[in-house]
Amino acid sequence: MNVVPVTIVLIEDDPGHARLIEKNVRRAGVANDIQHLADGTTALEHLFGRGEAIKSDPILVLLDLNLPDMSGIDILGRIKADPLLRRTPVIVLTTTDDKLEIQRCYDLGCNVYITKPVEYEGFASAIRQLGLFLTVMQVPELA
Amino acid sequence: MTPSQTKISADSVSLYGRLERLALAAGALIMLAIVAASILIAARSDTDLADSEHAQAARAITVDLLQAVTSAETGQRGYLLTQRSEYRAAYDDAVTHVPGLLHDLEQALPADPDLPRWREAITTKLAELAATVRLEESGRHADALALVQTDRGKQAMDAARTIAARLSVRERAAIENDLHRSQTGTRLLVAVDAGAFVLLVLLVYVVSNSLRASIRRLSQSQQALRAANLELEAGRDRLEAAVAERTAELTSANDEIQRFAYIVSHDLRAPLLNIIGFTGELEDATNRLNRFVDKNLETAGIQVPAEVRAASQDDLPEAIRFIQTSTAKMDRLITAILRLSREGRRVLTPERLDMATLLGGVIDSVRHQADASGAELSVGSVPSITSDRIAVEQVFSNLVENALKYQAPGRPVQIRVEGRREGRFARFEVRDNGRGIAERDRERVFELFRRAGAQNTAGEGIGLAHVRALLRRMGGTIDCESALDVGSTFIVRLPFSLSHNGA
Repeated sequence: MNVVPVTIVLIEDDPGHARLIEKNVRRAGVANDIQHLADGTTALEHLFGRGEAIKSDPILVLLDLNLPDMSGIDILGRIKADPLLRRTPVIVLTTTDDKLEIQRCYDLGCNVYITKPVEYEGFASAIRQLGLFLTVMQVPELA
Repeated sequence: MTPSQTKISADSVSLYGRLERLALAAGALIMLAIVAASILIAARSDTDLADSEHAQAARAITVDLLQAVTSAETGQRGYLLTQRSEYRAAYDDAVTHVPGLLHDLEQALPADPDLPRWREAITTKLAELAATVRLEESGRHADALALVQTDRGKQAMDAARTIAARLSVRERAAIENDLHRSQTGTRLLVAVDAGAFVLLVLLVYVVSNSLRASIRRLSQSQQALRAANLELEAGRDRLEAAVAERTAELTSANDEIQRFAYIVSHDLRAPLLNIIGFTGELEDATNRLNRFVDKNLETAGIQVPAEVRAASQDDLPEAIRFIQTSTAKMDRLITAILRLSREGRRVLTPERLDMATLLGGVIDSVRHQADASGAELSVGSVPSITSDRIAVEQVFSNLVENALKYQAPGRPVQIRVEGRREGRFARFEVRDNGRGIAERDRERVFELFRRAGAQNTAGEGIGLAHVRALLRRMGGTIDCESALDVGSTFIVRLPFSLSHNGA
């Protein structure tokens, strides 16, 4: 990744999944900080309550849609509507493969939509490949 | 209205029929009577008329005859008075007519008692006339007069006149009698016709009454029928509404179950994924630990106690292995349930299916499997049906695959599929000579996650449950006939034509 360290913001309610995602991303060679937020409210607070801190810290969001307190779609919508955060790459990483849901996410401006495989082998492999992808991604500065 | 009231009883029908038959018979008889009476009376009238004519004729002849005799007398008188030949001619002419007229009269009144005397009188008179004329002709005028004066001629003439009057009276009476008779006949005919008319009117009245009554009865029963019909329709509508309601309830209940199965299996996956993932991490960490321990402890020369070695080399790996196989199995089961529930929500799309081609395709798809075990697969005659292609393919794929899986040891399996039409259904049989299913397991094999017999083949026991659920959705059934070590026959019944709302 580029010179300024990017924090990977992982919004995922299941702690087990979050940990497995972290392990497999690391196995792909990603050394960035990974910040785990376990529900929508916390995520919104963290993203939109940061104020000035955003200017220095570019982030990349890994977003699960099945959050306990709200749909991840709302968070996606808010991120892409915000003048400061809308450049943030958002990778939707969720279990559903419903076509309408996928279209809606891309309509709202998500950058990539990945369906998490429900069985572990595929899951681990997909996350590792995502990690490899992240290592070659260019993340924009926000300000 | 109860059903018994709508029926016309058998008795009442026959009664009306009898009355009408009697009426018709009576009517016919009356007509016959009128005709007979008319013929009789007409015949009699004819006779009377003939008699009357006859009498008239006789009377005419009588008059003519008297007239002729009188004319002869007048001629004779004239001749005697004037000796002129015109009077003689008149007399001659009159006399020539008499015999003919007499003859005619005798023909007309053969039985009349006065006739012979009249003939006698006339003959006498004519004789007298003839004598006087002869006398006059021969110039014996005085003798002729003397003959006249004897009054013999006059007496005969008077007698003739009297008799003629009597005859006349009798003839007139006869004529009047005939006329009277004729009138009576006509009056009788009129009376008969009038009577018959009255009877017929009565008959018509009676028949029309009975007809009216039976028509009234018929219309009553028709109304009753209509009312019963309406009730029936109302009942049927209520029934249909009730059925529709139940169907809607069942459909929504079924949908709920489907959603439930989907959500449950979906939500079970998340923690399962964690278990599997972290078991993998566990295994990984264990291996790292073991490698370190093995390498370093050996180098350090430390003896590893047996139970520690067992823990690291046997217990940990074994525990991890068991967890992994169990979670793998859980994974497969949940996948199966997810697939079942997804199938249950798919919309059925009926299309015309050539079953021979479809089954051929199923067999082709298991060709390699079949060849590997030397199995023989064949399809007999099968009817074409209208149904959902995917579901039907799944059903028969499953049955054929099962037959291939559960072969009898040492006997290459023969599988045959046949079908025929049974009323509204198509009946298919998948017959094999595999290992068979015991009587007590016959129902078990259709249960989810249950299997029967030796568990020496891979499989979760989901196939037949899925098949039965699919068939149920399509309005069909599946049954199994089997004998251990002999083989099995699976009987699939499908509606010949699947309607679009087959849910």
